[in-house]
Amino acid sequence: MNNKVKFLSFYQSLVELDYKNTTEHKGLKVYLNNYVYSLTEELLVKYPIFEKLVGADNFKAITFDYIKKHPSDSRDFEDYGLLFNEFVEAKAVVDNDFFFYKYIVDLDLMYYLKNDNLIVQFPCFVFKQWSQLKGLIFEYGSADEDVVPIVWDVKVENLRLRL
Amino acid sequence: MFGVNVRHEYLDFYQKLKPNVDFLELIVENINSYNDDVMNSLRENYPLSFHSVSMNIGSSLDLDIDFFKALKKNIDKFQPVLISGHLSFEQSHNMFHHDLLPFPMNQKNLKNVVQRVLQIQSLLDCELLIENLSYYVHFEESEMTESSFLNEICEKTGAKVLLDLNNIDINEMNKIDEMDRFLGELNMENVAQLHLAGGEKNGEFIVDTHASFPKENVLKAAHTIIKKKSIPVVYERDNNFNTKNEYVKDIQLIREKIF
Repeated sequence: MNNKVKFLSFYQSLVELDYKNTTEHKGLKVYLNNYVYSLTEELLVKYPIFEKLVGADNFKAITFDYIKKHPSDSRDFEDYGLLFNEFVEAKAVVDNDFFFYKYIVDLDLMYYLKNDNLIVQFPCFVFKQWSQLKGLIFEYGSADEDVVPIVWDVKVENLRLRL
Repeated sequence: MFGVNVRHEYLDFYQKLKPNVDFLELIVENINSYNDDVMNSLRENYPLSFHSVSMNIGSSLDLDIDFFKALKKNIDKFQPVLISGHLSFEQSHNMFHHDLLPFPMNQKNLKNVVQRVLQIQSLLDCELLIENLSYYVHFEESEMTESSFLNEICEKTGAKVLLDLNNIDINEMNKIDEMDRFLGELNMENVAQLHLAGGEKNGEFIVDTHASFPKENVLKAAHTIIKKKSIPVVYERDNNFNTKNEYVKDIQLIREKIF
């Protein structure tokens, strides 16, 4: 069922997340898929609203890119994906489609970390744009200023993202 | 003794309903995510065994001494009845694979693993149980079978074997090894614990997902072993849970079939 594989080739495929040898060595795919699946699930735990907005397939494609560039460097799953918001922000610089998502991933991470001290600044017009995103019901209180600082408790009490 | 592995989702179940098991198996790497109240409650109601998924026994990297020091503290605090790891590597340079990865079974790696097991036993000041794997690749560099490799490790280190019967069955279904051959070659005197679980089909392979009830041949093999030698057994279930009632029935049914 399985051709014998050289250990170095197996190891390199794992480290580089390289699927090219999986045709010849089908078992290799089990290990690669397991790694990608585990980390994708962890990213889903941390960035659920982002996943809903971009859709499951796009989420898998984007997170695969992230997983390939950011290998897990901790034995604890909970440490994984804390830079994914920065990854999306970097994408937003070159890809306009990501412009609004960079605020969503910040919000997702803030929610996950339950960080009272984390302040994410949202330009007011982003709120209006969000309210037009498919599948998102966005409610927010009145804000007269151009930039609204949102802290954790404000998010919970006054900012409601419903999907 | 019959035990089950602890799942986050079932913490209240172990604490409040106290299922009919003799001990609980805890994943070492999860202990820090349980607060003291949870750990004390589990420990008050059940003996614990510690099972690690990241000892990195098969690696050529230096052992993570801080990890083992922290584990030793937890061993001293919670007094587990058994401590086990896997015949695998889980970490490479700056990368945690979150999987039990195989390596070639040959004399060079045997020497390395023996040294590491001796070092781990010294750091933890206890006997280590080492679990056999389910495999999905063969290596060109392998010179020995896993069962003979385990025999050699035990002989040279005094470590014991945590025999996962489901892994052997999965290897047989995936045409990697054969259960009769494996059990015939393994020195059963070294076997100190059994794991039972069920896998599921994933593409061309049966994968060890702990997502189903153990197969009949796995339960029969467990029964045969236990008749000859009374050792602890753990039913591992991590995925595809139905209801707590069904889980309780599964536990009872497995007990009836193997004891």
